[in-house]
Amino acid sequence: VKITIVRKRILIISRWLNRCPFALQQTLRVVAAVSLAAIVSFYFFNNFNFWLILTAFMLAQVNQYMFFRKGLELACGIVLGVVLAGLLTINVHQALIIYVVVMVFIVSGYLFDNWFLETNKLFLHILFFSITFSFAVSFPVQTIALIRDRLGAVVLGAVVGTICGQLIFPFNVIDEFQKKLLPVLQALSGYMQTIIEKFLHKGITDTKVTEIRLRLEQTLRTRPGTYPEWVYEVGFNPGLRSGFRFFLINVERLIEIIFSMNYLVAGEIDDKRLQEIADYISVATERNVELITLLISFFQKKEIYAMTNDFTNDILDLDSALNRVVPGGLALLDTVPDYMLLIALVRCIKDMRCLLLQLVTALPTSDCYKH
Amino acid sequence: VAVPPSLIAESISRISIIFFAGLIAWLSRLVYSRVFAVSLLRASIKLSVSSLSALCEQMFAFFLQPVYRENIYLFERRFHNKKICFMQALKRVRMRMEVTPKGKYRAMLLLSHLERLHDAILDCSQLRMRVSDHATLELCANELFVISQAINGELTAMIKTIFRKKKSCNNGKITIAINRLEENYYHVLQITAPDPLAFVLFINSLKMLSHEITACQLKDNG
Repeated sequence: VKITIVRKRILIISRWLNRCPFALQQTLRVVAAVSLAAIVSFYFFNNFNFWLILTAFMLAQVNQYMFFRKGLELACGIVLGVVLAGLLTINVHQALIIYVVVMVFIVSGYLFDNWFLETNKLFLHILFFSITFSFAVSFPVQTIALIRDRLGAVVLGAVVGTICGQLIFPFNVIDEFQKKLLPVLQALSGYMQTIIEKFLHKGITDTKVTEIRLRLEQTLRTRPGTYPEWVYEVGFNPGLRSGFRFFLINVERLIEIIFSMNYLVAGEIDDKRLQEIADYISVATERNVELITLLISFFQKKEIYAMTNDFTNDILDLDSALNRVVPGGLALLDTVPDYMLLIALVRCIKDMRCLLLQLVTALPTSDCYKH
Repeated sequence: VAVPPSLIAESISRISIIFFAGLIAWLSRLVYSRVFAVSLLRASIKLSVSSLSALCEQMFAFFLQPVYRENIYLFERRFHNKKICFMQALKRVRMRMEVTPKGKYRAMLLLSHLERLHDAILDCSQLRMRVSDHATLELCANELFVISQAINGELTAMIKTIFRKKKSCNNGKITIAINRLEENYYHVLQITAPDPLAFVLFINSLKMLSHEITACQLKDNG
């Protein structure tokens, strides 16, 4: 009975901790890594080993959102820093030369990062290398054996840091991605419906639009770890990477299109022209909402329901209606602002359809998902 | 071990000094709360405009950088980060506006204009999805670069003069740059681009963006 009670309590605590803010989880990871490093240090070296604790601290920053490969790369950077600094301090005895070399390393690292890489992917590597190199030069060693000891401590620290970073608060990547994306899609669907209803004068007030916009912004304006940005990280699961990134980018684009539509519908348009095309816009928007609902349903229930509606004819009808309203030649579009507004809006709806169909097509079938 | 009374008295006197120092700081904050609130609001509005400027710069990077197609994820992530920065800055403006009665109406007007500016920038950014070939964009790269410089210059000028009486309201450079792009469209892009409508919509979006910048400056002047 006692064991069951303890298990239940552990389960409650672990659930509570999993719901903690990202910052707290990360702090606990780092604290655990440093504490474990201190214990290991006492066990192996009978003292606080600075290098072991420093490496564990650095590697604990590599959490599950940054993935194992990145940790390995950073550990290699630290090892390189220790070895180079050790060889330098053993072979060169003039302090001035050492300072010059350190400066050259740091400046070249900075320039490399800025000029040769248009990406900042190596920023963390260069930072860790620089810190380790500077520390290693500041506390010089006299023999190769001491470098070996230092390397041993670094490797142990890397192991401790990586274990704590990866194993404390573990998560399932697929579940986590779906969980984080769900509120975004829900807010997206609501915002799109509201915007179009406002445009078609269906009694939606500006206050209502602002309220729903704020809801969407709230889901996007997230703290670290609450939006699945980690799919962009170097070293993210290569099997899932391209699919997840594709999905996230397309969702981002959908959001941009919706903000763009919000901007467009604020413009004035002649009621007569609007009435001619209103029904077609309404139908196409409903279909788009239906596709978003399908995505939401997939993320909630992990299954795709059968769709009966056709997703091509409504767009063709919308195009035909638009062609009836606006003049054929592009040169004539500037004559009336309404034309441009309608064309832009219809283009947004079509772009959105295209993105949504790509996303729906990319969803795994139930069989794939089980595997 | 008994603590000597002199030590207790010293501790009490230290605590009371710290308490009084804190009280003075709190009172001064209370007295000048309006000044603090207004300056904080001003700072957050400036931050929002500066995030918009960064967002705009990143948007033009899509069109001007040939490596975009090979590094889509990286560029998109940067753009996403800029958007989030703006949203967070906007959140701060809203929070500070609630506690700042002075200038609240003006701040609300500015806020709605900033939101519209953000939406207009996102509207312009649609071009990257509509034109998949960088060679087409290269045909108007010079014009795009000039527009980018003009918009950023105008937004930077706006940051410097926000809430000040002396203003510089002149977006003539943006208009000239957009006109150059339009000329390019009529002479080159209309014939060479696979989807000329995308450029028509882009030019229209740029005009609306330019209009929004002017409107924002005028409201701030008012």
